[in-house]
Amino acid sequence: MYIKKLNNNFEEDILYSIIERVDNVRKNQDLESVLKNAQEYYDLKNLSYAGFNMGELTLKKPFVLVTYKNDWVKHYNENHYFELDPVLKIINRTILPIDWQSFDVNNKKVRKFFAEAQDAGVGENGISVPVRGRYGDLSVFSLTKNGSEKDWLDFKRHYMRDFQVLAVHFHQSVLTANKILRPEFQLSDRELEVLYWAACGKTADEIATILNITKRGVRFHMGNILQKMNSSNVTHAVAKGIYYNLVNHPR
Amino acid sequence: MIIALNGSDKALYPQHFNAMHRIRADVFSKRLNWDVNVANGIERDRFDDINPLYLISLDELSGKVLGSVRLMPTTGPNMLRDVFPYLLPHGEIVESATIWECSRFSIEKGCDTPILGQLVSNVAGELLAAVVEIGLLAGLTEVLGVFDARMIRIFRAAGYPPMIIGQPQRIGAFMTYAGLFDVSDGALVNIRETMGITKSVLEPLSAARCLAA
Repeated sequence: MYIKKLNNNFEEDILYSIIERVDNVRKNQDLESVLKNAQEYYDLKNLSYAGFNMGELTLKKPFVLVTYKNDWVKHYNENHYFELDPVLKIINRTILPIDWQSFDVNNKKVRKFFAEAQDAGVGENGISVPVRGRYGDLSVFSLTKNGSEKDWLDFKRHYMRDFQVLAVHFHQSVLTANKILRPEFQLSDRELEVLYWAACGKTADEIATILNITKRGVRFHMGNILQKMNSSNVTHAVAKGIYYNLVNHPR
Repeated sequence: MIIALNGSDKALYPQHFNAMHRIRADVFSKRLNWDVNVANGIERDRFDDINPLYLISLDELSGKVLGSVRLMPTTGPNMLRDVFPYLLPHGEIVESATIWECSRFSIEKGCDTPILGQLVSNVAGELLAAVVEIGLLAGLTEVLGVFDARMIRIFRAAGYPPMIIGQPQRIGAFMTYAGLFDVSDGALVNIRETMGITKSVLEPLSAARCLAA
């Protein structure tokens, strides 16, 4: 991963120094302290991170790190706001950064949620940057800042690039700090199709019919899949495939 | 006029999506004879399933779909890494927070002819201007693409020449290239001046809906 061509001035040093810290993170405590660094450098009110689809780490709930006050975190959890919070829904909605102003304020519950967040000092303006990883891992990196609408607009224009970079590097460090496995293999489109149908419980004969290839062809692809995925049998390969989010309906 | 739609907006805009996939089938299967999957006159691939962002060109009067381009982050699954890795030297990949990939650049038959005094159609010019506008809003530095020689001529004529990276390869009947496009105010000015575009090409509501920019 590389970063290039940022504004060529003092501000570049700030981004680089934060990124360097982010990239050196090995423990979850360090992740929290780099959030505080960024908060200070960019004069932000708060930052937050929520990661999804990261295997066991996010099996029951997203992996969350925030700089919000404990009172708000407690209130949020007690009210099950993760079911309502539009920020968490962004990852399934878009790849664009989303300004919190664009959330549906016609929804009474969402309006109440943001009013309470405001009272709890979450921040006057907010934006969330979705991150899409290589293996189905997803996250949303959000930041808030107080100030007038005009200042906020200028701030976003000026720093959006920084926040894209920060979001992706932070996501990467979450994976590293939690030792999330990454597959070192790469399956071809045909192999992905064979794996998908195997995951659906189809036999080699049935897969051959579905894909309009010979049974021998299916065996050949399956052999390659097992070798690439270092799996001992089809069940093992399918289990690994699901873990790495490779089992999707082919088009 | 260009409308930005997420893959997740499909249910809200069924006609836009149908028209876009039909045009893609016409362009990539019928006209270019690429090896793409077409079913019922519709072209889709697995990247359409992972919620990309589409920029769709609409006729300002009739609202008819005239063409489209698709954008995805290079940090996630994308075509250069997952379909055309051999276009880059062995082991090299493009994976950056500030580079998105554009693919499936396609224009309806009959809308791809330039008007008098231009080298490229307005639809092509507006789609490229929209890519840069969205890129600037999202904080990108570059956009990545895989394309053939014919497309490079179009991009150049629209004032948006790509920087070729890696080794061009013959795929079927075409030389295929990977390239990076600059995302900057300067790039936008260049396209606008070349194409005679005077203001944002994004449909105002769609831009506001996405970014509250």
